[in-house]
Amino acid sequence: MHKKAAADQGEVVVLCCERALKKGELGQEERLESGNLTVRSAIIPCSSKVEVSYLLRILEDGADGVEVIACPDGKCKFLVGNVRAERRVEYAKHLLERVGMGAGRLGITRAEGLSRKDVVAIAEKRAEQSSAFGPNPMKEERNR
Amino acid sequence: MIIGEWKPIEETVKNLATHKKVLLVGCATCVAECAVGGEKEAETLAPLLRMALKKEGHSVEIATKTLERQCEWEFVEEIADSVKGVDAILSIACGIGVQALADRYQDKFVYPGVNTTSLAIREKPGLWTARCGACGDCMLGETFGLCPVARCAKSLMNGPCGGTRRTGKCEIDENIDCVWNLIVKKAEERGRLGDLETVRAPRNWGNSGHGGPKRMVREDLQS
Repeated sequence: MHKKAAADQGEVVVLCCERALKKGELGQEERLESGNLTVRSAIIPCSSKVEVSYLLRILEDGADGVEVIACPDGKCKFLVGNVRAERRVEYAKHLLERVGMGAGRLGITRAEGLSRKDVVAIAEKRAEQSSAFGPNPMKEERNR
Repeated sequence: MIIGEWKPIEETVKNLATHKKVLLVGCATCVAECAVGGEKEAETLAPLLRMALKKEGHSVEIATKTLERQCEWEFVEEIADSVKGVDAILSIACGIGVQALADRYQDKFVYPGVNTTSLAIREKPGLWTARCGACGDCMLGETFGLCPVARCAKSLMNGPCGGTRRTGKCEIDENIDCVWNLIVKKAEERGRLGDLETVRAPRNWGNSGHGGPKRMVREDLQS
């Protein structure tokens, strides 16, 4: 994935369960542009592969927001992976709140059959919610 | 296992703010089992602290290492090289691990990242409850395997207090069982209610914390 982004450019990372996407809609890792927003997407085999530490590391790396896209209730191939992902995102949000980074920088969406356009729309929504907390202060560290 | 919980982030941030390079050390034993101080938690706490410190204008490098056991000298030795380059250590082991690091690496500031709280069991995923008070005079054989020292809010030795709820829960928290209620029920089930009327000799509290710092010696194991 590309690491550098202009300081004024918003950046959202989307971690997407393969079951939530239409087949062949996105590559394993992609960089999508939408106006002033850079969306870095990665397909994961199950949303439960996401650990709290990964979410925090992505934000530490300078992304303004992170969205996990999980498959709908009852559709997880590992039965409860999407439920676990939801709990982890909630816990990570609580931790972010504790350090004043803004819980709204993180979110989870349940969906299926998403197109590339849908993924970008979800990322835009996350960017909007993240913007309430201003640019990620870790961005300057990355751009040093 | 020994359980604990992260110290308030603000407290840890305050401790680390004056340092430049910190080694965050996890322990892969008890505190890993209770999801507080293992490798996963070290990798979660490190970015969180870096963000919190950065937000307050401090630039602190935090590296991580997780030892198999922070309470054994052989394992504590493993981080000797990593410790050389840092000016402080943050341990997320229990208090024993923190002291082991402070003892071995005496020229470094060593901070606890965890408040050690009790000796507990994992009842179910995400729930740990205290089961042993390390009192030094175990009476589990007389209480049907249920510890009133650790599991009674008042550590009562002679039956439930007046605060037990009708539901059999403790007055301090409706989610906590009154352990004496459980003990009496167990005794009833086994037809041994009479056992609880036996007068017991006073407990030897001096064999634990009340007798000063505990030392245990086994000459046959000494070098």
